[in-house]
Amino acid sequence: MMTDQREAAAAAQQLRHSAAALRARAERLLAVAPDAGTGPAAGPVLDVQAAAVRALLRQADELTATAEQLAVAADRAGVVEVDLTRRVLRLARPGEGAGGPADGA
Amino acid sequence: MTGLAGDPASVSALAAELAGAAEDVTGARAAVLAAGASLAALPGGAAGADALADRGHRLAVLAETLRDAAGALQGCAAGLQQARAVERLAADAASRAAGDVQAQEAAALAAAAREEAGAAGRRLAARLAAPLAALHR
Repeated sequence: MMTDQREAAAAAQQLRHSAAALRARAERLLAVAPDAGTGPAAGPVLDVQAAAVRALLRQADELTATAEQLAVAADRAGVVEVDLTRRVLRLARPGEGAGGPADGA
Repeated sequence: MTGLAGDPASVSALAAELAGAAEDVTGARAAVLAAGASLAALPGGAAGADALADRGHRLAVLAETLRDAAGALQGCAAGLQQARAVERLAADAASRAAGDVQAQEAAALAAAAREEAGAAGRRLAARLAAPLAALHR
């Protein structure tokens, strides 16, 4: 389970990197100043640019939130792992099994 | 330069950024799928893993939409390039009309050229409508 926890933490980090990449791309998209002239295509070109920037930023926010949730789940799994290890160690000691004095029960 | 045809290179640059954005989103999708697999291995992570699979699907759709938009914009840039040539033709025809050299014929050519440039712009706008609608979803 410790391996799973580490993998989850690494996956959360990767999600954060992806979110940062999407934000950087949104900024680069925004920095382009397209001149589609004064014809009928001019408006749609700018609309596509704005909509793409918004979509990228929205996905970046969602990825960041997901990364935090995954990191929390990984931490929680770590707590469970530590707790399990403690219980196993107690069971291995005579007189300190589940419900024994060291269990706090 | 701002005219009927604008600056095709700037539209092409936007198309290139959109194509890059599609790649970024594809990379993000891979990260989401990997996160889903990691979450599924954790206790009680199954529901979250399903949600991540959904998100992966949405990212795949977005990447496809961005690729589509990039293609449309590249077509738009090429169309603007042609519109520039048409603009020059129209300007030349108008100039000849002003000099009264076969005036009526030149004026008609200029009008036809402008009309064609406008029609090309409307076609380009129509081509952008689908990806634009998808991006708004």
